[in-house]
Amino acid sequence: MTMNEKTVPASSGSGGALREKRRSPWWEVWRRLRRNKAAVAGMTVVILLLFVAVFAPLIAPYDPNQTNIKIRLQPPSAEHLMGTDNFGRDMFSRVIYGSRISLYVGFIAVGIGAVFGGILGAVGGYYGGRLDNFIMRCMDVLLAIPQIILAIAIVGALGTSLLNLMIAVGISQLPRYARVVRASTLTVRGQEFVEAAKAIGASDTRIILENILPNCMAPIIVQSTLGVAQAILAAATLSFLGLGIQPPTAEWGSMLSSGRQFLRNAPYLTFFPGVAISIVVLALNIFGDGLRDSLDPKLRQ
Amino acid sequence: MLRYFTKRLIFLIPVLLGVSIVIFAIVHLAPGDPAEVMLGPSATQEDIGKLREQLGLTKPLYVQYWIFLTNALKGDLGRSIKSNAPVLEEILERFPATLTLASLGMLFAITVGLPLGVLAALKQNTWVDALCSFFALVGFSIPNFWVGLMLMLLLSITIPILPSSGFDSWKNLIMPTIVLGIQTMAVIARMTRSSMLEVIRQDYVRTARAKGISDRLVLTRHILTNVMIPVVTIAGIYFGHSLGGVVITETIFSIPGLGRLIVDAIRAQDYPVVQGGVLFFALCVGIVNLLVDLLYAVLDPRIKAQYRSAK
Amino acid sequence: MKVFRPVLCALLLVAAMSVPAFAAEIRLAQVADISSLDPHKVSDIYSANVIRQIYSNLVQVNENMEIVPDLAESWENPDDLTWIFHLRKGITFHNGEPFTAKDVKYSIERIRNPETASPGATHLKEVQSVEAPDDYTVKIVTKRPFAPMLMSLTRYETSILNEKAVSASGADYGSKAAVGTGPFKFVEWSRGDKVTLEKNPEYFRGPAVLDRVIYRGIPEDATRLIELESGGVDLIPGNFPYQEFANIEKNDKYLTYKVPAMSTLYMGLNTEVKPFGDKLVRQAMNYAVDKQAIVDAVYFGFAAPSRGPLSPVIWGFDPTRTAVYPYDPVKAKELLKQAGYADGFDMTIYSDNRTERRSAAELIQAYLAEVGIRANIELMEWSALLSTSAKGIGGAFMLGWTGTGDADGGMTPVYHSANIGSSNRFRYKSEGIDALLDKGTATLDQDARKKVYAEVQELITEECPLVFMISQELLGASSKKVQGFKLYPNMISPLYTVTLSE
Repeated sequence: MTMNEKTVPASSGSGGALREKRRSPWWEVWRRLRRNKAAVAGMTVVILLLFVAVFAPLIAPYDPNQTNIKIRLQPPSAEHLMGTDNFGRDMFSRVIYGSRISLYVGFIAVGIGAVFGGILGAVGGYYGGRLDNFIMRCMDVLLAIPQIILAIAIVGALGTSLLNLMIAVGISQLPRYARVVRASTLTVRGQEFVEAAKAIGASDTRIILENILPNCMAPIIVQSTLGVAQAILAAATLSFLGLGIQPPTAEWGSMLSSGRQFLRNAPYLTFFPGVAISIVVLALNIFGDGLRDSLDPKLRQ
Repeated sequence: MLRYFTKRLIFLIPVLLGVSIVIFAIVHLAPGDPAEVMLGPSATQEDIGKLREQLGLTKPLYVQYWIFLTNALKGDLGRSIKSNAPVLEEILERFPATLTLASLGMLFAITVGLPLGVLAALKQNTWVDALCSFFALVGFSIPNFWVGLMLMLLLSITIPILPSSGFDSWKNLIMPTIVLGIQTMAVIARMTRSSMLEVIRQDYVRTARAKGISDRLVLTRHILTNVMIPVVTIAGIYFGHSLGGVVITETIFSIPGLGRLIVDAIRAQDYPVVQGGVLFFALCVGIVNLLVDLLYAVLDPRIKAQYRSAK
Repeated sequence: MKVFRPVLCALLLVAAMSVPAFAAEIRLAQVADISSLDPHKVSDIYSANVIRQIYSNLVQVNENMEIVPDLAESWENPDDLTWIFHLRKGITFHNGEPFTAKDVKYSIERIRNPETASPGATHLKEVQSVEAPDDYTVKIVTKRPFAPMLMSLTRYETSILNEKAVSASGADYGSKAAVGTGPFKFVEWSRGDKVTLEKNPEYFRGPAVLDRVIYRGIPEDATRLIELESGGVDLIPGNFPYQEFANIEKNDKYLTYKVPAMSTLYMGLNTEVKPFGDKLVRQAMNYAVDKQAIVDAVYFGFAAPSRGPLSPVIWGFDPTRTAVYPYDPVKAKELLKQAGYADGFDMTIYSDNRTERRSAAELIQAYLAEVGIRANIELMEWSALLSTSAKGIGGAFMLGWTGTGDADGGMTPVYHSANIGSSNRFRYKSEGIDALLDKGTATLDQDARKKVYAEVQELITEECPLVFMISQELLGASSKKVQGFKLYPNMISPLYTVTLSE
């Protein structure tokens, strides 16, 4: 793992490497990333998306939940750039506010997956033996259950709400983080500085947190970026199937779902949210790819 | 070899067991009552209570699970609460549609994804590569249900040349196949490209080229075989993920398949169908993964040797 | 193996195209596939529709929801507790067995048998005994005077079965076999896909004109319509998407059907939850919601604001009634102030995920907000909604009620305090309402009954343990080939009189 050579041994603290101006590993990453045009494009879109999500109230021309039956189901026009839905709500505003939910869901779901998955993977990789075996079998079980069934069942059991949707998506992402962190843990475990830390008498938890996890950062970051993209897709899919989003919240997947009965006479209701999802996920994927390439050009999947 | 196979088969069992427990637990945790759904809004609590008893729902959960498990091992997956038909029968009736779709989707993914990836790798860093890679990335990023809706809009509504529902003729299969296969196609394309690039760089290929063996021969014999390995692995993994796509496809195109059966059953709290259906699906995925591993071993002589020598 | 079906179909298609079609086959599309053809095991309208073609009842309803004879030619009440039915002679079941009074006795006893666990048992729970004194006479004795008896006997759940057929098939009855005396015979059911029926040449009114009938289940609105347009389907006998109806009415290539439905949609209130126990609050909420807006937005104009607890086509509906609680947010605020809620209050609306319910909930939420009531919406699965609301849900719930077509079935299960814990989801107890409903059930004289029900409709409207909303219209469409189809207000429409022109 290239990161190791450039990182100062963990006992001096994780900030040590970053403070050195010359040859800092993150600077290297940034340089390589900048050279990758596609990744830069992806990153720009992602930043734009964050901007739109944060400043949604200023950008959206109307209140996304304001109903007005008289102007419903109108095609795109100057006043309503993306038309109006069956309640007369402005689609453009709804799409803009939808970015908030999508990002929110994406980050939290990935957060849940990465944190719990990471912990399980680190623990399994570090201690090895039967604990490791058991954890990996559990991951296998999780993987064997089709993600969508798991999500539907979880949402069905816990109730339809945004939080439960995020939990459901997060849980199904668990195994991949567990695997990635476990793999990194295994490589690092045998290394000298870990032995050294043990000799000093550092507790297991400290070793895991300070030595092992920082070295998993790179693959975790890459996985997370791609994970956010997948979480957004998964959440949209589940909302499409009718789980997870309470009305009248504007979320792209549920907008697609409500729009599909109007596919024939108001196709713009399904067109725009779909384009929004595609662009965001595409940008995240391109950026994630670029990130992976710049973190280690020889890094295999 | 055989020992490896049997060992993997045995490993499948605790996984399936785990799956059945997890699904059983989650489904039974959900609020709502299958007896209530069956009897409708005008039922009295008394009637509901009687039906629950009849269905065996009043027994403690672990007893219910045990009954389910012991019966399942005998091949009896119980009866659907809603239709009273044997679950296994319902599954088998709907399975061919899902199998057809999943296989066609995979076929589409491979026949389009593989050449795309090869092309991108061969013309690395040219505009061809950029185009192919971008195309693959787009396929990976677009929600498949949106693709389905747009396709339906275009080919069933605007220019009505394809049917939008049912499962009668080959025309019904075109749009669902694309919807199902598009994400896997993208993954295969990307995977193929990166594997090929790796393989091309390796020494033995350079040696073969230096020896003067034609590019074509080098390509087919050395490169492709090594590329197939990760591709086959990915295909196997994605088959397991395919149920999500299958559910979407069956919903949008009103196809009577296993995906919709399971989802409808979850909604109606038809426990036996959910448990049986998910178990059946997990079993299929497990078998596919097993076959993939075998194929893997066959393709890569190094791995074959590993298994021969292992234990 | 079904995997090869596409290839086989392609070949057959080519072969079939060279042979002129002579069988009159009609294809219908419903929202979902059936769940069983055993009348004692179903509670969904899609199965009911197919059951209607296969089975007959003692009495039936016509398109005006009036009672007409079917298997019974005539009937009388020697006293308030006894019903005597005289059966037609010379009728045979699809399996060749003759139809006699024994079959009626068998059917009624089977539906009432707790082991059958039939959702329809509730319709005949007042029956004390049923006897067949001779082959063509049936005597039913009830525990108390039960005026809705005839309407209960027209239900699809109380269709007449043949004992031999049921016992011969055992647990497979309803999925692999279904034997009745109706104009169409069951051929096969390809689960999740379609049901096929064919003409019964021995039908006692004479054979139908149609040779084959196929019912398909297509959940997607857009898809159902596409199938009609492409000719994949000939008739959509109800549940036609509201948003498309105006367009198709204008289109010459199709015939459309529109009829007021038996069902109503409302937002129920759990009166045990504060502040729904206060009548002023409930009335305020009724004034706060603009029902016409719901008609326009959710049903695209194909509905009517409620005129009380019953839809206009229900027997016993008081035709002098007009739309209740007109939209008056000023009055709503006043009433709230009177009740002590000048600043409004918080509440939750529970709904299932179906578009109409959900959309209506969203609109109601907006209207309540204007008078200061802050409602948040929670979606749950239909089954969860049903069971939670029966036990007492924490707020308001979006529900509909269809009933039997008789005023008793339209109100007693829902408003009578005896049904708290099951179908009375408002958990509302009013002695006045209870007394009137009991009287209506027991009064056999039609005119006297109507007067009682007129009174109770007014009382229920006044007490309003719910927010009244709308009664919708049933919409259907077919290609021009389909002739003679009538859409019934209970959405169970017989195909006996339907023909296909070229």
